[in-house]
Amino acid sequence: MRTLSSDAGPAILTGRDLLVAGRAAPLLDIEQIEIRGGEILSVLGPNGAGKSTLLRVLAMLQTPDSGSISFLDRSGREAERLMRKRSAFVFQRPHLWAGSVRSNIELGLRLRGHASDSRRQVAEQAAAQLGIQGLLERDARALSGGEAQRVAVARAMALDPDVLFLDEPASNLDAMARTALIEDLEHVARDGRHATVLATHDRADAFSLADRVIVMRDGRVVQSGCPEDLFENPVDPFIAAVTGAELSFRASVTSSQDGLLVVYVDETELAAAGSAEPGDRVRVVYRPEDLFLSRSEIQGSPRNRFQARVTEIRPAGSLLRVRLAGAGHWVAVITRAAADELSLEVDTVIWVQVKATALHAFQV
Amino acid sequence: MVEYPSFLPVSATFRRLAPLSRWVSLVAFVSLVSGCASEPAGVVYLGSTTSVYDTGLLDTLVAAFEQENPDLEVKVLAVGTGQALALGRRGDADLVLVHAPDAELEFVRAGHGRNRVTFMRNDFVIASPAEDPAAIRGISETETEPGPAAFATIASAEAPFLSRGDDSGTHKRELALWAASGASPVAPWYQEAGQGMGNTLVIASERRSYVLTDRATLTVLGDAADLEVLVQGGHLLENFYSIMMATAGRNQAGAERFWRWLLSERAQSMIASYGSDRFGAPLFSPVPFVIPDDSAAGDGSEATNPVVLAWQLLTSGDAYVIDVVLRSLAISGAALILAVLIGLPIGVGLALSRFRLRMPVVALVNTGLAFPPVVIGLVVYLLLSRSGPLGPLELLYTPGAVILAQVVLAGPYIVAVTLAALDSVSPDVRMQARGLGASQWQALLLHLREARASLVAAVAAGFGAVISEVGAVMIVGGNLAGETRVMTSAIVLETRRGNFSVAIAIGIVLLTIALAVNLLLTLLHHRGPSSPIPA
Repeated sequence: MRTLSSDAGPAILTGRDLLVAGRAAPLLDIEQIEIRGGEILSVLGPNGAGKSTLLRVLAMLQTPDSGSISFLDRSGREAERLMRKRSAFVFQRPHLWAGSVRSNIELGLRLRGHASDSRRQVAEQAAAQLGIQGLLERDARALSGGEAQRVAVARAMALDPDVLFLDEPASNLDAMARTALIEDLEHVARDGRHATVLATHDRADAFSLADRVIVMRDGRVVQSGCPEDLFENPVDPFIAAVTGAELSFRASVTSSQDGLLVVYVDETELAAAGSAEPGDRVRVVYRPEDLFLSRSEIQGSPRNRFQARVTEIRPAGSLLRVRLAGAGHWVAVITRAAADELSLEVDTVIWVQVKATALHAFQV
Repeated sequence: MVEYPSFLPVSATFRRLAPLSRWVSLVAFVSLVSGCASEPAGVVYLGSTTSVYDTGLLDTLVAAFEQENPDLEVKVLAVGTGQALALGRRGDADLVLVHAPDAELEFVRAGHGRNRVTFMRNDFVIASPAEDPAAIRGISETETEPGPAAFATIASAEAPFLSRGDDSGTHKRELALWAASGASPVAPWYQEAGQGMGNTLVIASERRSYVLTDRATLTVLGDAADLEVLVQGGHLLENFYSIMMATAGRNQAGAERFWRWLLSERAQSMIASYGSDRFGAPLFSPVPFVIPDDSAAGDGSEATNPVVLAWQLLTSGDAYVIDVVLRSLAISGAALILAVLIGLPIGVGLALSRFRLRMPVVALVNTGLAFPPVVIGLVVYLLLSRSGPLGPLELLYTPGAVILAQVVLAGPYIVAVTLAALDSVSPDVRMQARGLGASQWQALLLHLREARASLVAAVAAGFGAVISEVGAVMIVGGNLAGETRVMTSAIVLETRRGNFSVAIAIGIVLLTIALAVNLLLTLLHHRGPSSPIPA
């Protein structure tokens, strides 16, 4: 279980009423946001959500049209100067300067006027942290995408920043390079010395790394909180989709009490989580892996139990996707081993169980 | 029935025509083609001194001749006495019309010319602006040979004197006058323009110099030059024009027809009256002559290969060539440094800024690239001339004027290429540098460093543009020997004088420099600006 956000330090960087105007709609419109010392914050959202803009504004590389930023209790010019000294930014397409990998990693140190032997040492440590000691003497232009990104991260880490900004660092890499980089980033982020702000459109990366996740769309924050929060209490279908709950169906509410609803679909009553009034139409969202299939009815915690017929079985990677008809239409995902155990095939009738809390209902 | 061999590329249509008509069309076709390929019935090339041409007399005479002889065309090459004789020597001119008796006699003696007839005259005068610093105004009244006497006075007063310096008839007479005066003209008061009579007079007016000129050109120039006749008269200021046929000329028959016509009554009476309606008195007078009957044509002597001579000049380190080359490099170098100091910051500023008028300003800069250099020369000339806004600076015809023109020439290159160089580097380079802690200034320097290959290319392009330009440098510099004569204008002058070996020598140096600059540009282009990592 990940540490809760209350374990992170106090807020070191706060932004208020940040506004960046766009041509038709604002590129960024955020009332309040803060970064806490030592935490890993993911900024998640689709392309065009405003993630990069947010990072650049927070890193004080881009001036917002209105709003204020305070860093380490300073603001204005002083904060900007301090930000340059105490933060480092890794761009989506890092620009590597002509020269060796070593000279690129040492660049920030050179700009700050560090002596050459201390530069050497620090650069080597940073390279080791990213696993690229072997590349130090290589020409920086002759690197693969993944190697170049590591160099970019290493040169940022060489500066020992209080805040490390990573703007979609793995987006331009192929799948294997991306996985490897995200793993290394996890080690880098967890060394505890600095806060990490990571912008990404990949929900797996965002959720696996982060202490806290901010989900953005159209320049605004839709929801923020720790990953579990978002998983269990998505505020709208968008967040639910972001966290993987993309399957849904419509139903009507028959009764409601304390966040628990009874919805009616296809002559069946189901219990779901959400807030709505009786008579409302709702969209119920769930994750396929939250459906539990069995041959016979099992007494257990899930409130919802019904029978359904298998209409289709399809492979989905190493798992199987099963379409079911009964109390509406459903899609479940199970392992092949489980399918074998159930002797599952088309037209088989089985029992389906799903927890009420796994069914998220949103007003339509 | 004629059968064509089947391998001949004769079309099927042609084969189908009746045999007789095939022959007719074939003959017609061949004569049409051969008719197009051959030259018109008669072209005669006349190499002439510039003074006769500048007055417009030659145009009038040639028009009258061609009207009476519609099958002949006379092409006038008004290149100055020196080169006219060179053209005659090589057979590139069929006739020469010059005014340098010693050179003419040598020309005939060597067998290059025949049928020499002195047929018209006017006189030389010494002209100057009204100031007359050497006080030679009254000399014509007190001396039988005022020419040499005036020259001696000018020399002892070290008053400014401007020479043609181009081996023309006028120049040769001037040198003879110096010899007769017993004085030796030296810099800095003695300058050589290296240009035709008209241009030399304009420069002399601008620089308030004494100048030797034929009276006709001065009269025709009128108000364009602020000069008046100060000294005239005496045998040594007499000016005689002769016509000769070149033995190596290709159109002997046509040349003879023009020669005879020029010596006919009609032509002579045209000469006698030319100019009286416009200037009050005729510009030339005919001279009594006897038409000779030279049937003997001498053999032209062999010309030494000018390319070989040029190479000798280069390897022996000829002083004149070295002087011209070094001056060109100095002037263009200075101009380039100034252009970079002004243009680079402007280019950087344009690349970094995003103000509203940016687009039109960039378009303006790019238009500057396409500006004809000679027009730039004209504009700078108008600014620097005595009556222009920068006249008081007295920069015209000094190296400063040439540098100014070249700065204006090279400036747009520097700005445009700097702009392109900076834009070619990835746009967020500066932001990335700041993301690593760079100050605004450090970020800018890093950006420039990334584009440094292209920036050097900018400078090289500017240098290439100015070192090979000829129009503007001549207009504002005047091609004065030892002062504003650069490689390109020297080539023009020496070619005109017929000194092809010198022209070729300088040309070789200029070509080498241009090649070196282009080589540098190509090398830098391949190194190229930084490319982002492969995605």
